[in-house]
Amino acid sequence: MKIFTAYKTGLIWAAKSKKMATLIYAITFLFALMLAIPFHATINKIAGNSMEINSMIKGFDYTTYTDFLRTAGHAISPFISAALWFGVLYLIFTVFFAGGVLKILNAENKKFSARLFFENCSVFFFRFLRLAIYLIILQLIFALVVFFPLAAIVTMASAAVQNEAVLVYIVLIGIIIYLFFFIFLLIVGDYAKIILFNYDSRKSLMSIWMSVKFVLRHLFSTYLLYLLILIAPIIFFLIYFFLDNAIGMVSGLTIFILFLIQQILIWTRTWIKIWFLGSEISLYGLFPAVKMSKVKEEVLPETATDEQGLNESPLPS
Amino acid sequence: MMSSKTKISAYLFFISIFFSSFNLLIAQQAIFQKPLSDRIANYDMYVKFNPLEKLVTGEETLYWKNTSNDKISNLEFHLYLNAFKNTNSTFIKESGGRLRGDRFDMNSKLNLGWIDIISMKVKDGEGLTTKIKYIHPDDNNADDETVISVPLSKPVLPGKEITLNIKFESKLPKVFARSGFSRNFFMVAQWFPKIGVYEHAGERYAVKGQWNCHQYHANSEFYADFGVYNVHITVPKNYVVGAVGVLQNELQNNDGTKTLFYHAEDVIDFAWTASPLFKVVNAKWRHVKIRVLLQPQHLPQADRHINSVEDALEYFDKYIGKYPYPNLTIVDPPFHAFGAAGMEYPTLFTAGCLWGMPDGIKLTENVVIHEFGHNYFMGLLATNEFEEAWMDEGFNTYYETRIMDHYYGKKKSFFDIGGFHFGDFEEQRETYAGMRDPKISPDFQNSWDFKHNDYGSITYSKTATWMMTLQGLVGQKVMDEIMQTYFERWKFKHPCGKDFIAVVNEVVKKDLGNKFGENMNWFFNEVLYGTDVCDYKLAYIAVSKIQQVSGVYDSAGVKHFYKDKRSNDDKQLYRSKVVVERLGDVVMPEEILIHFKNGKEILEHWDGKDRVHDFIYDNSDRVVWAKVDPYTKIPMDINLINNSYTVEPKKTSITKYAAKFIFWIENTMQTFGMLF
Repeated sequence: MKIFTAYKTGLIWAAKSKKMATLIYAITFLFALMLAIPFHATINKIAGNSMEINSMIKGFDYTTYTDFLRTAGHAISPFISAALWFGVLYLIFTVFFAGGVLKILNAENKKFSARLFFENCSVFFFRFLRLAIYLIILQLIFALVVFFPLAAIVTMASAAVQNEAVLVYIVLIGIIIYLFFFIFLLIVGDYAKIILFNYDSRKSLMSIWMSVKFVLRHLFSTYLLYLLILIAPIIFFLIYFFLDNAIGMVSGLTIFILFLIQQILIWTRTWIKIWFLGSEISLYGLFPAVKMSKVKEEVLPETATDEQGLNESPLPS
Repeated sequence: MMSSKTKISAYLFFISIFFSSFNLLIAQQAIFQKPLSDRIANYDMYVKFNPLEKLVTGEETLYWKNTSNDKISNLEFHLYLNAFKNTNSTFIKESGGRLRGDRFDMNSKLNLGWIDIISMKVKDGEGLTTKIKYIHPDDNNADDETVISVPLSKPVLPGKEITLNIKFESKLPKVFARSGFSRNFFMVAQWFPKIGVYEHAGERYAVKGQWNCHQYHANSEFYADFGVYNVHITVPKNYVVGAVGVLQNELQNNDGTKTLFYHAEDVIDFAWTASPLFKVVNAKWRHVKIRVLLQPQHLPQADRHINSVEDALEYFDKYIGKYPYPNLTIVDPPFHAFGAAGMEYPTLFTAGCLWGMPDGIKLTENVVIHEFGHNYFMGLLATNEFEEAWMDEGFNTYYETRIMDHYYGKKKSFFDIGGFHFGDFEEQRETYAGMRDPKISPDFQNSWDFKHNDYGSITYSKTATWMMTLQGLVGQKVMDEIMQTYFERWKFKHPCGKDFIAVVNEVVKKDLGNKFGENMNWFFNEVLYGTDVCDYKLAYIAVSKIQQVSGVYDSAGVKHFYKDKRSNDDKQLYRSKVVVERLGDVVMPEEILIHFKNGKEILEHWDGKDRVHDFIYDNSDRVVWAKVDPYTKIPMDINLINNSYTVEPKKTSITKYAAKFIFWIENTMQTFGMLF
């Protein structure tokens, strides 16, 4: 029942956080525009007065696509690599926003205040940045821990089995194991953020450790909650693919409609991330707090409380 | 060399099977009422297969006819398994021990392959064993042992036949290139001493009688005379066997083995396969019995093999000519022997299949159709793959694309998953047009002279692209007539490039007159012998108002001044200039479709020779857009994006992809953001 209480509470909190979601979405959109505008200008110039590009309006055309890439690939490939760097930059922004999001979600009335949001973004930024680095290192370690044995098993199996289906199953099992750890670490990361925020600690590693203990102690609840919320973005994406297929970007109007749908989906992804965090804060509060004696010593007096009133162990209202 | 113990057992084996096979020979049924070929090289073979040692020991009786007017005083043979003997073979040097993604593991002696001739003698005549010497006609690689020359004391006279008795032992390599073993799968190909082709003066490019017997190269392996094969294969009882030809009889021996007798007529090679794991699925298409030897896990995909080969049979039958043989065997190699996949032999070929392959990926169909096609291109039209691979792989790829696109959809015949799709011909064209340097080498050259990983792209893909271009120029009906004439005239013979070009010239002249000039040689000079690329561009369209008659004009000594003579009823006239450029060096006759504002269209024809050509229209209407090659008859144009120009460009597509780009980059960023 605690899972469903947390699920519902997170949803209610996220519903109250539409402004915050919109702010983060707007920044995401602006980021994308920074690349999309020169991208548009580039392909527009490359396409020039050719009519062939328009053959792609009805759908994918391999010959047009490959001929276009062959003649313009050199101009387009920088955008692809830039997009990956934008991803890294966006990750840093996500780290930056984390303090603000947690502050608003922990506020009693959940009312969005830009001042409060950005203040806490900056207050927690470096702590969360350290936490993010540790978590990414952990993700890499877990990926390697799964990948190398998996590669060894596949190599050994391919020399022994007659049926390649066995190899496919081994790889699938490997992917499932990896996904389990990947999600586990995402959950650990979320609770580490909550713990770090709640105790206003600077000890990122300690918060990860405490989070691991918490998640393992309540593995079923934390994991199931995460998976339950994860259903929502999957459903939204399926709806999007259905609409994309049904409507198709084949005219000015349908391009506009689908562009709106795409942006709603991006907004929804942002909003769901808040939902995740809200539910996890709620669930964290529904269980006895982890013993944090060492962490408590690190409490920073200047950020421990504010006018909204911050509890050490917030409970859902 | 063979050990004495092995020699004795082989001797006993031959004696034992001699009597049993005597009856089999009598029981052998002729496949064709009268020979379809001149049956120059005919073989009777008795072989025993030892799966543990990966050995095939055998005796071969070769009946070889001298159909030339020359006295032939030496014979040349292929010993192709010696390509896998050591690192000094031409094959390994050329391939670097890697072929089609597979690597040759030479770290174990068991993995190596070779063929030893134990003895060779003329029937009732001289012994030749000691006279055998290795020759290296292609590259002077003294270490290559894939071709031998055997001098004869008594020449083979014109019209006469020589019979040789050859004992041999073939050690199969670990499969990485076409033939060999992998665990308990065996693909036994290029495995016996096989005589080369004696080309008489005037045949193909021979100016005097000569042997054409090439070393085994990484890129090519086929050129042989037609003949009759009677092959008795003794294998352990639990092995399922597939082979070229028709199974005549199967004898159960008392030593845990069985002997299968295969008879093939009018074929250029003999290969076989064996594995205890094969599951057999049978089907029939008209007169052709189809036998599919599948890996157990691929049984659910049996229909993919059968349906696609039936499509290929139907298409070849309709557009080229009848498949003459009564049967066909499709071999499905296991995943650990993928080096043996996608290989062709007469009436038998290996396909390629993987468990769980989605229907949207037509890899199995593609391989089946391609390899079946080789029954025509090198199987029936027995071209020289070493010297003119374009007539073998290229023609076959052209038909592969036609069949794939015909049965599975032009834009999705190869891949169609999740909105991303492409057709087989599209993929072949892209393989050629997308080469780092499409000018890297001509199509017409020896297979071993392609030294920059360009063999596949040029031989398969460029040929398929220019064959489709030829079809675009002359039309499919004429193209089909060309190929049918070529087939009827040259089946069961050794045609060469000039023979094919002669057929093209003949049929085009007959059906289209001088539409493309005196002959089509210009076309082949461009696409086959040359390296240039084809690229036409619709450079621009310039539209301007035509100035009416204005100024001072002398008439009968009087100066007349006109200022815009146009009356109010006259329409404004426009000059539309459509400029087409030839960026590549290949010259092709081009069509240009001109579209006017009022919807009127004009199809212009241009010889395509000038570097720049203007089409000018003085008209009350303006040209809005124009397209070079509007019906994509010339797919070998390497850039189709620049083939059109519009003065009113629609940017909808650009907007669409810009919107998609925004969505994609937002999702990319959010995915990164998921990490925290």
